[in-house]
Amino acid sequence: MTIARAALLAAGLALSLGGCKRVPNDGADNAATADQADDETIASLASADSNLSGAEELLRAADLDTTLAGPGPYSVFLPSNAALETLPAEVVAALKDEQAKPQLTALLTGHIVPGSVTVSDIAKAIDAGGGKAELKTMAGDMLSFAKQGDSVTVTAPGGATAMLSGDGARAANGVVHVIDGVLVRS
Amino acid sequence: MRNIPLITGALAMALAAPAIAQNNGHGGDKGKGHAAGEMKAAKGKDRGPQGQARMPKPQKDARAASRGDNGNGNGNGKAWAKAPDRPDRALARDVGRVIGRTNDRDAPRYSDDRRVRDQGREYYRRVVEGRAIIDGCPPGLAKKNNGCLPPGQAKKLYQRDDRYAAMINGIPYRYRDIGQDYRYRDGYLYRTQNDGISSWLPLLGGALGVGEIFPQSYAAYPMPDYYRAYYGRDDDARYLYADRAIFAVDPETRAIESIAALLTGDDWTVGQPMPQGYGVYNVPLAYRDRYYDTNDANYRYSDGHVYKIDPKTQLVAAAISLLS
Repeated sequence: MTIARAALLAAGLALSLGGCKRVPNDGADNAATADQADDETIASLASADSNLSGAEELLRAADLDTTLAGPGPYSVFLPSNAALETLPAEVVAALKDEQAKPQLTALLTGHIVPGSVTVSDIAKAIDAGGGKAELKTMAGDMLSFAKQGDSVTVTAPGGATAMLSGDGARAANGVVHVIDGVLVRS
Repeated sequence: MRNIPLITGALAMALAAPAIAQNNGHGGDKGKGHAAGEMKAAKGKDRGPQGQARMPKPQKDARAASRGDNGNGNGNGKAWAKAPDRPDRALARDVGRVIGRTNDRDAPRYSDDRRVRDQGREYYRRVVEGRAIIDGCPPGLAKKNNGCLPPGQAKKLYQRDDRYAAMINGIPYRYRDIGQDYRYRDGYLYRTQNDGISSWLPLLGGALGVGEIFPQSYAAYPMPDYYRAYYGRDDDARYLYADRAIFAVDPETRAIESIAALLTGDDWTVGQPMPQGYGVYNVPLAYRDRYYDTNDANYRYSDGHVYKIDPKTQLVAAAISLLS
Protein backbone atom coordinates (compact mmCIF):
# COMPACT_ATOMS: atom_id res chain seq x y z
CA MET A 1 0.00 0.00 0.00
CA THR A 2 2.82 2.32 0.72
CA ILE A 3 3.89 2.58 -2.87
CA ALA A 4 0.41 3.08 -4.09
CA ARG A 5 -0.38 5.68 -1.51
CA ALA A 6 2.84 7.42 -2.20
CA ALA A 7 1.86 7.57 -5.82
CA LEU A 8 -1.46 9.05 -4.87
CA LEU A 9 0.20 11.60 -2.68
CA ALA A 10 2.62 12.41 -5.40
CA ALA A 11 -0.23 13.03 -7.75
CA GLY A 12 -1.69 15.40 -5.22
CA LEU A 13 1.57 17.16 -4.64
CA ALA A 14 1.99 17.63 -8.33
CA LEU A 15 -0.91 19.98 -8.22
CA SER A 16 -0.13 23.53 -7.52
CA LEU A 17 -2.06 25.59 -5.08
CA GLY A 18 -4.92 27.69 -6.18
CA GLY A 19 -8.06 29.36 -5.09
CA CYS A 20 -11.61 28.31 -5.63
CA LYS A 21 -11.76 28.75 -9.33
CA ARG A 22 -14.00 27.47 -11.98
CA VAL A 23 -12.91 24.17 -13.34
CA PRO A 24 -12.61 23.27 -16.98
CA ASN A 25 -15.03 20.59 -17.95
CA ASP A 26 -12.95 18.56 -20.27
CA GLY A 27 -9.43 17.81 -21.14
CA ALA A 28 -9.22 20.22 -24.00
CA ASP A 29 -8.53 23.16 -21.78
CA ASN A 30 -7.48 21.27 -18.81
CA ALA A 31 -5.68 23.73 -16.72
CA ALA A 32 -7.38 22.20 -13.73
CA THR A 33 -4.52 19.86 -13.14
CA ALA A 34 -2.12 22.71 -12.99
CA ASP A 35 -3.95 24.94 -10.60
CA GLN A 36 -6.12 22.69 -8.56
CA ALA A 37 -6.68 23.73 -4.99
CA ASP A 38 -5.00 20.84 -3.29
CA ASP A 39 -4.87 22.69 -0.03
CA GLU A 40 -8.62 22.71 0.28
CA THR A 41 -11.09 19.94 0.76
CA ILE A 42 -14.82 19.93 0.34
CA ALA A 43 -15.10 20.00 4.11
CA SER A 44 -12.78 22.94 4.51
CA LEU A 45 -14.48 24.91 1.76
CA ALA A 46 -17.87 24.31 3.31
CA SER A 47 -16.54 25.26 6.68
CA ALA A 48 -15.06 28.47 5.38
CA ASP A 49 -18.16 29.59 3.52
CA SER A 50 -20.44 31.53 5.82
CA ASN A 51 -23.30 30.89 3.43
CA LEU A 52 -22.91 27.18 4.06
CA SER A 53 -22.67 27.21 7.81
CA GLY A 54 -26.00 25.45 8.17
CA ALA A 55 -25.08 22.71 5.74
CA GLU A 56 -21.70 22.35 7.32
CA GLU A 57 -23.36 21.91 10.68
CA LEU A 58 -25.53 19.18 9.29
CA LEU A 59 -22.55 17.47 7.71
CA ARG A 60 -20.81 17.46 11.05
CA ALA A 61 -23.91 16.14 12.76
CA ALA A 62 -23.91 13.24 10.33
CA ASP A 63 -20.15 12.71 10.69
CA LEU A 64 -19.77 13.31 7.01
CA ASP A 65 -17.42 16.23 7.48
CA THR A 66 -14.49 13.89 7.88
CA THR A 67 -15.65 11.90 4.89
CA LEU A 68 -15.63 15.02 2.79
CA ALA A 69 -12.14 15.79 3.99
CA GLY A 70 -11.02 12.42 2.68
CA PRO A 71 -9.80 11.30 -0.72
CA GLY A 72 -13.13 11.32 -2.47
CA PRO A 73 -13.63 12.77 -4.92
CA TYR A 74 -17.22 13.81 -4.55
CA SER A 75 -19.34 16.62 -5.81
CA VAL A 76 -21.67 18.02 -3.21
CA PHE A 77 -24.72 20.17 -3.67
CA LEU A 78 -25.01 22.01 -0.41
CA PRO A 79 -28.09 24.05 0.46
CA SER A 80 -27.36 27.62 1.35
CA ASN A 81 -28.33 28.93 4.72
CA ALA A 82 -31.29 30.64 3.15
CA ALA A 83 -32.38 27.35 1.65
CA LEU A 84 -32.16 25.56 4.96
CA GLU A 85 -34.20 28.29 6.56
CA THR A 86 -37.10 27.27 4.37
CA LEU A 87 -37.28 24.01 6.25
CA PRO A 88 -39.50 23.97 9.30
CA ALA A 89 -37.34 24.61 12.33
CA GLU A 90 -38.56 21.48 14.04
CA VAL A 91 -37.49 19.41 11.06
CA VAL A 92 -33.98 20.78 11.21
CA ALA A 93 -33.91 20.26 14.94
CA ALA A 94 -35.12 16.69 14.53
CA LEU A 95 -32.47 15.99 11.93
CA LYS A 96 -29.77 17.19 14.28
CA ASP A 97 -30.94 14.81 16.94
CA GLU A 98 -28.42 12.04 17.49
CA GLN A 99 -31.14 9.50 17.00
CA ALA A 100 -31.99 10.88 13.61
CA LYS A 101 -28.47 10.51 12.28
CA PRO A 102 -29.45 7.80 9.80
CA GLN A 103 -32.14 10.02 8.34
CA LEU A 104 -29.82 12.97 8.22
CA THR A 105 -27.14 10.87 6.60
CA ALA A 106 -29.61 9.66 4.03
CA LEU A 107 -30.68 13.20 3.25
CA LEU A 108 -27.14 14.46 2.92
CA THR A 109 -25.79 11.58 0.88
CA GLY A 110 -28.62 12.38 -1.49
CA HIS A 111 -26.81 15.65 -2.10
CA ILE A 112 -23.50 13.97 -2.95
CA VAL A 113 -22.45 12.39 -6.23
CA PRO A 114 -19.25 10.55 -7.06
CA GLY A 115 -16.43 12.29 -8.84
CA SER A 116 -15.77 15.87 -9.71
CA VAL A 117 -18.60 17.51 -11.56
CA THR A 118 -18.55 21.13 -12.58
CA VAL A 119 -21.43 23.25 -13.73
CA SER A 120 -19.88 23.29 -17.16
CA ASP A 121 -19.79 19.49 -17.16
CA ILE A 122 -23.44 19.39 -16.23
CA ALA A 123 -24.40 21.97 -18.84
CA LYS A 124 -22.63 20.02 -21.55
CA ALA A 125 -24.34 16.83 -20.50
CA ILE A 126 -27.71 18.55 -20.50
CA ASP A 127 -27.13 19.76 -24.03
CA ALA A 128 -25.98 16.34 -25.14
CA GLY A 129 -28.89 14.68 -23.41
CA GLY A 130 -31.58 16.70 -25.05
CA GLY A 131 -32.22 18.96 -22.12
CA LYS A 132 -31.66 16.64 -19.23
CA ALA A 133 -28.80 14.94 -17.44
CA GLU A 134 -28.77 12.57 -14.51
CA LEU A 135 -26.33 11.83 -11.77
CA LYS A 136 -26.60 9.05 -9.27
CA THR A 137 -26.18 10.11 -5.68
CA MET A 138 -24.38 8.37 -2.89
CA ALA A 139 -27.83 7.64 -1.49
CA GLY A 140 -28.49 5.58 -4.57
CA ASP A 141 -31.11 7.66 -6.30
CA MET A 142 -30.93 10.05 -9.20
CA LEU A 143 -30.60 13.77 -9.41
CA SER A 144 -31.92 15.26 -12.60
CA PHE A 145 -30.39 18.39 -14.06
CA ALA A 146 -31.84 20.81 -16.55
CA LYS A 147 -31.24 24.33 -17.75
CA GLN A 148 -33.37 27.26 -16.86
CA GLY A 149 -32.14 30.17 -18.83
CA ASP A 150 -28.48 30.46 -18.11
CA SER A 151 -28.81 28.59 -14.86
CA VAL A 152 -28.79 24.91 -14.03
CA THR A 153 -31.44 23.34 -11.87
CA VAL A 154 -31.30 20.10 -9.98
CA THR A 155 -34.32 18.02 -9.12
CA ALA A 156 -34.48 15.20 -6.62
CA PRO A 157 -36.78 12.21 -6.81
CA GLY A 158 -40.10 13.46 -5.61
CA GLY A 159 -39.73 16.80 -7.26
CA ALA A 160 -37.75 18.96 -4.88
CA THR A 161 -35.85 21.39 -7.05
CA ALA A 162 -33.03 23.80 -6.51
CA MET A 163 -30.90 26.06 -8.61
CA LEU A 164 -27.14 25.88 -8.68
CA SER A 165 -25.51 29.09 -7.67
CA GLY A 166 -22.30 30.12 -9.34
CA ASP A 167 -19.84 27.81 -10.95
CA GLY A 168 -18.95 25.65 -8.02
CA ALA A 169 -15.83 25.75 -5.91
CA ARG A 170 -13.21 23.17 -6.53
CA ALA A 171 -11.30 21.34 -3.89
CA ALA A 172 -8.62 18.73 -4.02
CA ASN A 173 -11.23 16.09 -3.39
CA GLY A 174 -14.12 17.33 -5.45
CA VAL A 175 -16.41 20.24 -6.12
CA VAL A 176 -18.75 22.20 -3.89
CA HIS A 177 -21.94 23.57 -5.38
CA VAL A 178 -24.25 25.87 -3.52
CA ILE A 179 -27.94 25.34 -4.17
CA ASP A 180 -30.92 27.40 -3.18
CA GLY A 181 -33.08 24.56 -2.03
CA VAL A 182 -33.01 21.35 -0.04
CA LEU A 183 -33.30 18.17 -2.07
CA VAL A 184 -35.88 16.57 0.14
CA ARG A 185 -37.09 13.16 -0.87
CA SER A 186 -40.76 12.86 -0.39
CA MET B 1 -27.54 -3.55 18.10
CA ARG B 2 -27.73 -7.21 17.79
CA ASN B 3 -27.96 -9.25 14.76
CA ILE B 4 -29.98 -12.37 14.38
CA PRO B 5 -30.54 -14.68 11.52
CA LEU B 6 -33.50 -13.72 9.48
CA ILE B 7 -35.66 -16.76 9.28
CA THR B 8 -39.21 -16.16 10.23
CA GLY B 9 -39.05 -12.68 8.89
CA ALA B 10 -38.07 -13.94 5.51
CA LEU B 11 -40.85 -16.45 5.45
CA ALA B 12 -43.36 -13.86 6.35
CA MET B 13 -42.07 -11.41 3.89
CA ALA B 14 -44.76 -10.36 1.54
CA LEU B 15 -42.72 -9.15 -1.35
CA ALA B 16 -40.03 -10.34 -3.58
CA ALA B 17 -37.20 -8.53 -2.00
CA PRO B 18 -36.48 -5.13 -0.69
CA ALA B 19 -36.69 -2.57 -3.37
CA ILE B 20 -33.68 -0.86 -4.62
CA ALA B 21 -34.15 2.67 -5.60
CA GLN B 22 -34.72 3.68 -9.11
CA ASN B 23 -33.41 1.28 -11.64
CA ASN B 24 -29.93 1.13 -10.39
CA GLY B 25 -29.82 -1.03 -7.46
CA HIS B 26 -27.85 0.18 -4.61
CA GLY B 27 -26.00 -1.11 -2.13
CA GLY B 28 -23.04 -2.50 -1.28
CA ASP B 29 -19.51 -2.70 -1.55
CA LYS B 30 -18.42 -3.92 -4.83
CA GLY B 31 -16.37 -6.75 -3.57
CA LYS B 32 -15.51 -7.21 -7.14
CA GLY B 33 -13.32 -5.49 -9.48
CA HIS B 34 -13.14 -4.90 -13.10
CA ALA B 35 -11.56 -6.47 -15.99
CA ALA B 36 -8.46 -4.61 -16.73
CA GLY B 37 -8.22 -3.03 -20.05
CA GLU B 38 -6.11 -0.02 -19.52
CA MET B 39 -5.27 -0.93 -16.01
CA LYS B 40 -2.12 0.56 -14.78
CA ALA B 41 0.06 -2.03 -13.25
CA ALA B 42 0.04 -1.60 -9.55
CA LYS B 43 2.05 -4.37 -8.11
CA GLY B 44 2.40 -6.07 -4.84
CA LYS B 45 -0.32 -6.50 -2.35
CA ASP B 46 -2.18 -3.48 -3.52
CA ARG B 47 -3.21 -5.21 -6.57
CA GLY B 48 -6.76 -4.00 -6.48
CA PRO B 49 -8.30 -4.82 -9.75
CA GLN B 50 -5.20 -4.31 -11.72
CA GLY B 51 -4.14 -6.97 -14.02
CA GLN B 52 -6.93 -9.23 -13.12
CA ALA B 53 -10.47 -9.73 -14.02
CA ARG B 54 -11.85 -9.25 -10.57
CA MET B 55 -10.92 -7.92 -7.27
CA PRO B 56 -10.22 -10.50 -4.64
CA LYS B 57 -13.44 -12.25 -3.95
CA PRO B 58 -14.89 -12.13 -0.50
CA GLN B 59 -14.75 -15.21 1.60
CA LYS B 60 -17.41 -17.61 0.69
CA ASP B 61 -19.21 -17.62 3.97
CA ALA B 62 -18.90 -13.99 4.69
CA ARG B 63 -21.68 -11.51 4.55
CA ALA B 64 -19.47 -9.83 2.12
CA ALA B 65 -19.97 -12.69 -0.22
CA SER B 66 -23.51 -11.69 -0.65
CA ARG B 67 -23.22 -8.04 0.03
CA GLY B 68 -20.25 -7.62 -2.11
CA ASP B 69 -22.22 -8.68 -5.04
CA ASN B 70 -25.87 -8.43 -4.55
CA GLY B 71 -25.39 -5.25 -2.72
CA ASN B 72 -24.15 -3.76 -5.86
CA GLY B 73 -26.31 -1.52 -7.76
CA ASN B 74 -25.65 -2.27 -11.30
CA GLY B 75 -27.92 -0.05 -13.16
CA ASN B 76 -28.56 -2.46 -15.92
CA GLY B 77 -29.15 -5.93 -14.70
CA LYS B 78 -27.11 -7.49 -17.42
CA ALA B 79 -24.07 -7.76 -15.28
CA TRP B 80 -26.00 -9.86 -12.86
CA ALA B 81 -27.06 -12.15 -15.58
CA LYS B 82 -23.45 -12.93 -16.25
CA ALA B 83 -23.23 -14.91 -13.08
CA PRO B 84 -26.22 -17.17 -12.82
CA ASP B 85 -24.36 -19.50 -10.53
CA ARG B 86 -24.39 -16.91 -7.78
CA PRO B 87 -27.79 -17.05 -6.14
CA ASP B 88 -27.31 -13.77 -4.38
CA ARG B 89 -26.47 -12.13 -7.65
CA ALA B 90 -29.45 -13.74 -9.25
CA LEU B 91 -31.58 -12.32 -6.52
CA ALA B 92 -30.23 -8.91 -7.16
CA ARG B 93 -30.86 -9.34 -10.83
CA ASP B 94 -34.45 -10.17 -10.18
CA VAL B 95 -34.80 -7.35 -7.76
CA GLY B 96 -33.33 -5.14 -10.40
CA ARG B 97 -35.93 -6.30 -12.87
CA VAL B 98 -38.65 -5.35 -10.50
CA ILE B 99 -37.14 -2.09 -9.53
CA GLY B 100 -36.06 -1.27 -12.99
CA ARG B 101 -39.51 -0.27 -13.99
CA THR B 102 -40.35 2.17 -11.37
CA ASN B 103 -39.49 4.20 -8.40
CA ASP B 104 -39.22 1.89 -5.47
CA ARG B 105 -41.17 4.26 -3.34
CA ASP B 106 -44.05 3.52 -5.60
CA ALA B 107 -43.68 -0.12 -5.02
CA PRO B 108 -47.36 -1.01 -5.30
CA ARG B 109 -47.06 -0.16 -8.94
CA TYR B 110 -44.96 -3.19 -9.51
CA SER B 111 -46.43 -5.43 -6.89
CA ASP B 112 -48.49 -7.21 -9.48
CA ASP B 113 -45.49 -8.86 -10.99
CA ARG B 114 -46.13 -12.09 -9.23
CA ARG B 115 -43.73 -14.20 -11.17
CA VAL B 116 -40.77 -12.09 -10.32
CA ARG B 117 -41.98 -11.56 -6.83
CA ASP B 118 -42.42 -15.23 -6.13
CA GLN B 119 -39.09 -15.99 -7.65
CA GLY B 120 -37.49 -13.31 -5.63
CA ARG B 121 -39.13 -14.56 -2.48
CA GLU B 122 -37.76 -17.99 -3.09
CA TYR B 123 -34.33 -16.60 -3.66
CA TYR B 124 -34.74 -14.57 -0.59
CA ARG B 125 -35.46 -17.65 1.46
CA ARG B 126 -32.53 -19.47 0.01
CA VAL B 127 -30.04 -16.74 0.15
CA VAL B 128 -30.93 -14.44 2.93
CA GLU B 129 -31.79 -16.93 5.60
CA GLY B 130 -28.92 -17.05 7.91
CA ARG B 131 -27.75 -13.62 7.06
CA ALA B 132 -27.81 -11.15 9.80
CA ILE B 133 -30.37 -8.46 9.89
CA ILE B 134 -30.63 -5.74 12.40
CA ASP B 135 -32.97 -6.66 15.15
CA GLY B 136 -34.11 -4.40 17.88
CA CYS B 137 -32.70 -0.95 18.12
CA PRO B 138 -30.02 0.17 15.72
CA PRO B 139 -26.84 1.78 16.90
CA GLY B 140 -27.46 5.00 18.66
CA LEU B 141 -31.04 4.35 19.52
CA ALA B 142 -31.84 3.55 23.08
CA LYS B 143 -34.04 0.55 23.54
CA LYS B 144 -37.23 1.28 25.33
CA ASN B 145 -40.07 -0.90 26.36
CA ASN B 146 -42.04 0.15 23.35
CA GLY B 147 -39.19 -0.04 20.93
CA CYS B 148 -36.43 2.35 20.12
CA LEU B 149 -38.10 5.59 20.91
CA PRO B 150 -39.17 7.06 24.21
CA PRO B 151 -42.91 7.32 24.75
CA GLY B 152 -44.31 10.60 23.58
CA GLN B 153 -41.56 11.26 21.14
CA ALA B 154 -42.88 8.59 18.86
CA LYS B 155 -46.32 10.08 18.77
CA LYS B 156 -44.93 13.46 17.94
CA LEU B 157 -42.79 12.16 15.15
CA TYR B 158 -45.39 9.94 13.65
CA GLN B 159 -47.89 12.72 13.41
CA ARG B 160 -46.01 14.59 10.79
CA ASP B 161 -47.72 14.35 7.45
CA ASP B 162 -46.26 16.82 5.02
CA ARG B 163 -43.50 16.86 2.48
CA TYR B 164 -40.97 16.64 5.27
CA ALA B 165 -42.51 13.57 6.78
CA ALA B 166 -40.12 11.27 5.00
CA MET B 167 -37.21 13.06 6.59
CA ILE B 168 -38.14 12.51 10.18
CA ASN B 169 -41.00 10.10 10.34
CA GLY B 170 -40.67 6.44 10.83
CA ILE B 171 -37.51 4.73 9.90
CA PRO B 172 -35.36 4.05 11.74
CA TYR B 173 -37.33 5.16 14.73
CA ARG B 174 -39.52 2.29 13.80
CA TYR B 175 -36.89 -0.34 13.82
CA ARG B 176 -38.99 -1.80 16.53
CA ASP B 177 -41.30 -3.01 13.85
CA ILE B 178 -38.64 -4.91 12.03
CA GLY B 179 -39.76 -8.39 11.33
CA GLN B 180 -43.17 -7.07 10.42
CA ASP B 181 -43.07 -4.02 8.27
CA TYR B 182 -39.41 -3.35 7.82
CA ARG B 183 -36.53 -5.06 6.15
CA TYR B 184 -32.91 -4.17 5.92
CA ARG B 185 -30.78 -5.24 3.02
CA ASP B 186 -27.58 -4.10 1.49
CA GLY B 187 -27.52 -0.71 3.05
CA TYR B 188 -31.18 0.08 2.71
CA LEU B 189 -34.07 -0.17 5.06
CA TYR B 190 -37.40 -0.83 3.46
CA ARG B 191 -40.87 -0.60 4.81
CA THR B 192 -43.31 -3.03 3.37
CA GLN B 193 -46.97 -2.30 3.16
CA ASN B 194 -49.83 -3.78 1.22
CA ASP B 195 -47.66 -6.30 -0.50
CA GLY B 196 -45.29 -3.63 -1.70
CA ILE B 197 -42.65 -1.29 -0.50
CA SER B 198 -43.89 1.94 0.90
CA SER B 199 -40.69 3.59 1.93
CA TRP B 200 -37.01 3.12 2.19
CA LEU B 201 -33.99 4.72 3.66
CA PRO B 202 -30.36 4.34 2.74
CA LEU B 203 -28.38 3.39 5.79
CA LEU B 204 -24.64 3.39 5.48
CA GLY B 205 -23.42 0.10 6.75
CA GLY B 206 -26.80 -0.59 8.26
CA ALA B 207 -26.92 2.62 10.22
CA LEU B 208 -23.45 2.22 11.55
CA GLY B 209 -21.96 5.47 12.65
CA VAL B 210 -19.08 7.12 14.39
CA GLY B 211 -18.71 5.90 17.93
CA GLU B 212 -20.46 2.65 17.30
CA ILE B 213 -18.63 -0.62 17.51
CA PHE B 214 -18.27 -2.21 14.13
CA PRO B 215 -20.28 -5.41 14.50
CA GLN B 216 -18.37 -8.61 14.91
CA SER B 217 -20.80 -10.18 12.52
CA TYR B 218 -19.26 -8.05 9.81
CA ALA B 219 -15.79 -9.27 10.64
CA ALA B 220 -15.53 -11.49 7.64
CA TYR B 221 -15.89 -8.62 5.26
CA PRO B 222 -12.65 -8.44 3.42
CA MET B 223 -11.58 -4.98 2.52
CA PRO B 224 -10.15 -4.97 -0.97
CA ASP B 225 -6.57 -3.80 -0.89
CA TYR B 226 -7.34 -1.31 -3.56
CA TYR B 227 -9.92 0.42 -1.42
CA ARG B 228 -7.57 0.61 1.49
CA ALA B 229 -4.85 1.98 -0.70
CA TYR B 230 -7.13 4.52 -2.26
CA TYR B 231 -9.22 5.62 0.67
CA GLY B 232 -7.14 4.70 3.67
CA ARG B 233 -5.08 7.57 4.93
CA ASP B 234 -4.45 6.74 8.53
CA ASP B 235 -1.99 3.95 9.00
CA ASP B 236 -3.06 3.63 12.59
CA ALA B 237 -6.63 2.93 11.68
CA ARG B 238 -8.14 -0.25 10.50
CA TYR B 239 -10.50 0.02 7.62
CA LEU B 240 -13.60 -2.06 7.38
CA TYR B 241 -16.42 -1.73 5.04
CA ALA B 242 -20.07 -2.43 4.99
CA ASP B 243 -22.83 -1.45 2.69
CA ARG B 244 -21.82 1.57 0.66
CA ALA B 245 -19.31 2.90 3.15
CA ILE B 246 -15.77 2.41 4.38
CA PHE B 247 -15.29 2.93 8.06
CA ALA B 248 -12.07 3.78 9.85
CA VAL B 249 -12.11 1.87 13.11
CA ASP B 250 -9.92 1.58 16.11
CA PRO B 251 -7.86 -1.56 15.51
CA GLU B 252 -8.35 -2.74 19.05
CA THR B 253 -11.83 -1.72 20.01
CA ARG B 254 -13.38 -1.68 16.55
CA ALA B 255 -15.02 1.59 17.48
CA ILE B 256 -15.84 3.51 14.35
CA GLU B 257 -13.75 6.64 14.20
CA SER B 258 -14.93 8.04 10.92
CA ILE B 259 -16.70 7.31 7.69
CA ALA B 260 -13.64 7.16 5.51
CA ALA B 261 -15.47 6.96 2.22
CA LEU B 262 -18.81 6.63 0.57
CA LEU B 263 -19.15 4.04 -2.13
CA THR B 264 -21.63 3.83 -4.93
CA GLY B 265 -21.40 0.07 -5.10
CA ASP B 266 -22.14 0.31 -8.78
CA ASP B 267 -21.15 -2.59 -10.93
CA TRP B 268 -18.69 -1.69 -13.63
CA THR B 269 -17.75 -4.63 -15.72
CA VAL B 270 -15.76 -4.44 -18.90
CA GLY B 271 -17.97 -5.33 -21.80
CA GLN B 272 -21.12 -4.45 -19.91
CA PRO B 273 -23.15 -1.26 -20.15
CA MET B 274 -22.13 1.67 -18.07
CA PRO B 275 -24.34 1.97 -14.98
CA GLN B 276 -27.02 4.59 -15.16
CA GLY B 277 -26.52 7.91 -13.54
CA TYR B 278 -23.15 8.71 -15.07
CA GLY B 279 -24.25 10.92 -17.87
CA VAL B 280 -22.05 13.74 -16.73
CA TYR B 281 -18.28 13.81 -17.06
CA ASN B 282 -17.00 13.42 -13.52
CA VAL B 283 -13.35 12.49 -13.72
CA PRO B 284 -11.31 13.80 -10.78
CA LEU B 285 -9.76 17.13 -11.53
CA ALA B 286 -6.27 15.80 -11.16
CA TYR B 287 -6.80 13.30 -13.94
CA ARG B 288 -8.62 15.38 -16.48
CA ASP B 289 -5.58 16.01 -18.55
CA ARG B 290 -5.32 12.29 -19.14
CA TYR B 291 -8.89 11.14 -19.25
CA TYR B 292 -11.21 13.44 -21.12
CA ASP B 293 -14.10 12.78 -23.42
CA THR B 294 -13.47 12.46 -27.11
CA ASN B 295 -15.42 11.08 -30.00
CA ASP B 296 -13.76 7.75 -29.42
CA ALA B 297 -13.81 7.46 -25.68
CA ASN B 298 -15.65 8.81 -22.68
CA TYR B 299 -14.41 8.55 -19.14
CA ARG B 300 -16.29 8.32 -15.89
CA TYR B 301 -15.24 7.99 -12.28
CA SER B 302 -16.68 5.69 -9.63
CA ASP B 303 -15.34 4.27 -6.38
CA GLY B 304 -11.69 4.92 -6.93
CA HIS B 305 -11.52 4.07 -10.60
CA VAL B 306 -11.86 5.81 -13.89
CA TYR B 307 -13.70 3.87 -16.54
CA LYS B 308 -13.32 4.18 -20.26
CA ILE B 309 -16.64 4.08 -22.05
CA ASP B 310 -17.35 3.47 -25.69
CA PRO B 311 -19.46 6.50 -26.66
CA LYS B 312 -21.32 4.58 -29.30
CA THR B 313 -22.25 1.47 -27.39
CA GLN B 314 -22.02 2.89 -23.88
CA LEU B 315 -20.22 -0.28 -22.90
CA VAL B 316 -17.41 -0.22 -20.40
CA ALA B 317 -14.22 -0.58 -22.38
CA ALA B 318 -11.66 -0.48 -19.61
CA ALA B 319 -11.19 0.14 -15.91
CA ILE B 320 -8.32 2.35 -14.93
CA SER B 321 -6.67 2.30 -11.56
CA LEU B 322 -5.87 5.66 -10.07
CA LEU B 323 -3.14 4.32 -7.87
CA SER B 324 -0.44 3.68 -10.35
